[in-house]
Amino acid sequence: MSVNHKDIGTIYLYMGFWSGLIGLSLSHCMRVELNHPGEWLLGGYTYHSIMSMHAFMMIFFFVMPTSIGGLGNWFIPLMLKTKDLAMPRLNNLSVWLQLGSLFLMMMAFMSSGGLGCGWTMYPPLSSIEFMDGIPVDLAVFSLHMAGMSSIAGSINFLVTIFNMRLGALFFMHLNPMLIWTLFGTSILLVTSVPVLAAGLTLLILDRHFSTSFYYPEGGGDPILWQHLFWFFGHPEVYILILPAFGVISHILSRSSAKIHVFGKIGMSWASMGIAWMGFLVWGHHMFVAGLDIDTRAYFTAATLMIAVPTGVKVFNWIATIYGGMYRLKATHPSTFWALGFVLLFTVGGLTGVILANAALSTLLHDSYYVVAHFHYVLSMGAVFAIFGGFWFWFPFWTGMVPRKDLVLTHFCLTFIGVNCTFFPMHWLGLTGMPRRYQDYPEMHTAWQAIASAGGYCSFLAMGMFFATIWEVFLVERPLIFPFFVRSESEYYGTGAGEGNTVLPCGSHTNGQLPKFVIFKHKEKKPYYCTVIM
Amino acid sequence: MSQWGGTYYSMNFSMAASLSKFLYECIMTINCFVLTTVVCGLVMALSSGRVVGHCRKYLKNELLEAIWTIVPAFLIYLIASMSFYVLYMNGEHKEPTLFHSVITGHQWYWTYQYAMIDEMGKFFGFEHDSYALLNDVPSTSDDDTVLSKGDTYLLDVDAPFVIPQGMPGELLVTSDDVIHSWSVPALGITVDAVPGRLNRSPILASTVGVAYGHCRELCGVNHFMMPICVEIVTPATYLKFMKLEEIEE
Repeated sequence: MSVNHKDIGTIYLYMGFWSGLIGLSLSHCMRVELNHPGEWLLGGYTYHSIMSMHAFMMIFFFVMPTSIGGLGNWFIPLMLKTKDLAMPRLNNLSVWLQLGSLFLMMMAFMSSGGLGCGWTMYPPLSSIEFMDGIPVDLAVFSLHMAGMSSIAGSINFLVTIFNMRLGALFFMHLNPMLIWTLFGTSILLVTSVPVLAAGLTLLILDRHFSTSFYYPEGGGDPILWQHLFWFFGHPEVYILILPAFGVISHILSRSSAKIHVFGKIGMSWASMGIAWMGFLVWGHHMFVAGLDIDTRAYFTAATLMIAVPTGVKVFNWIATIYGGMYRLKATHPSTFWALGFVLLFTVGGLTGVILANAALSTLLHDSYYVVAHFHYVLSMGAVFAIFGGFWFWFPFWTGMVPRKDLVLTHFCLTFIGVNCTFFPMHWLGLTGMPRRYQDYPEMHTAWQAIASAGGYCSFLAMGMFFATIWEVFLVERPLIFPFFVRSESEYYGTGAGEGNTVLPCGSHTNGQLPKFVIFKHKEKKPYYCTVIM
Repeated sequence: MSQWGGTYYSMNFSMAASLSKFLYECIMTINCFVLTTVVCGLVMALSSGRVVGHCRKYLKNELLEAIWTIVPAFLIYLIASMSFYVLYMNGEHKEPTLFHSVITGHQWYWTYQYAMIDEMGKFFGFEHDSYALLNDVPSTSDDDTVLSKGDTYLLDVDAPFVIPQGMPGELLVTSDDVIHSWSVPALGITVDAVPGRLNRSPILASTVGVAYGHCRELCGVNHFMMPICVEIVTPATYLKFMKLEEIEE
């Protein structure tokens, strides 16, 4: 029952990785089924249940706990040079609510055949008429709990970032990128999760209390659910990727020995811009649902606009890499993950530019092209950033260093595996293979088989990851000279406490809160530093 | 239907589909240009250490940042203008509609209703169901619910949807139970079938032939088993088909 932000961050990391393994196994089940045409391994309902659970596990219980709960809890107090978050007991409540939510979701998976309506749970398929068991109700309550956990955690983060920063005057600069992106993520969570909660509550009322929010016979509309869900759902995907953006900025600036990312003010504005615009584009998930043509035109334009700040970020990362010494032998393993992120996230973002157009949704809606797009940005964006951040901060957390060749083998196997799995899906989508099919016309066999081969490769990659973790905890190789070059906020002493402590990081840091001092001599530039008095 | 191991749509049966595919190709060209720039930038940046040496202080360049904000914004503007053109071109027909069809999705088959106005100004029509052909042994010699030689599993149906070539028509799509989606990419049409709602799509097939499609919204266990087969026939054949079917009814 610890309220220490480091313990809570560690709990989130363990829970996240466990759920990630569950999600990965579920995806392997699907890839085995799709290896040949024909329903030969899993029945229809089981396949859809596995597919829905894969999505829930990965989104709500792997990426969000690891990047927001784990990294946010660990580094927001350290980077702001303060003792803990603003409300430590609320933090504890968040993590236990998240664990309860995970329990309910596993129950949903294992009762009455599982949850067969997809993670988007569109009524009427998710209504009591077509799914009258408890899995949908369990999933809804699981999302309610996860939502409460996220809202509580986000309020905690926002209060801490606004009020407990050392040098509170300097909001616009000297903040590390991870703080900026977690700030944007928290705002997105606090605003969009209540809308999801509303939609879920209406679904429960429809299912069990004879209301008709989503039934046309009673004056309702199934499209209402789609609006409510996607008004949350689109900010949700930016919630998944924004912390990853922050992690990549940290990794790349360190590996180029630069004190911060190139164009950091532009990067901060781009992150905030992506967060803000993310609220305005939910309709691109509903292009074929029967929206007015002018509405579709608006959502096309708004979605295309988000490509501009995202492109700015990618070019800024490339400029960060410029001027750094990158030699294969001397490169930190986390750098490979970051470089892979920059390349593959760009590919995913470009297919997103294609999908942003309502005119192309008549060809590509609910096809494997969409699956390819979001797996490129998630499975090769968010996941690469999580692995990169894990190895980047692993010496900080444990004081130990993994065997570099094992980490690189894991990276190479993962890189080959995910690309083999998801690149052919672009072709599958273009040749007309729809999503959520457990069997398909035989003409798609070639690319499905290659995608499944990639799935087996990433299974081996996960085995490699276990070997790496096992080896590092067995050998306990200590890190004597930290690789770290001071970041700007460390240099001026206003934050990023993780560079200033002894490795591994102790349980209680910043116990004597540092004071922020500005020396200014006549007309010279002011000199900032922190003093522990 | 596309080639085995194909990587792109192989058939266009309507102007809407051709325009959409042309838009896809234009945007893909721009995307390839951007990706090449990014890859070259990455390679240059990674090898810059050896060529230029450490540039630890290279942390901002306002001109460069302005260029890589404005040039992508301009490319996005280009893409958006092309996209708007295609969206509005495909959204409506200039010509008056000559035939109407109501398509109803069920778990797990489609119902097609045909309607026309005959020479005397009278409205006439009929409907039929369309099931996927089953991968099964035929029960009788003329069993038309199972695959026979030359049929493709999960693409061919027992009673295809017939539309005339060259005649502008209108599809009204709805559903009887859960949300389905009537999708035939070769015609450039994907319309969600939502219960309680009639979604409308214009349709104008430019060549005769057979186009295939699938249900594109998760609708239950047999979501994969409700394919769409559209037979595009000459207008004369279409009229014969309508009169024949009506007489049979």
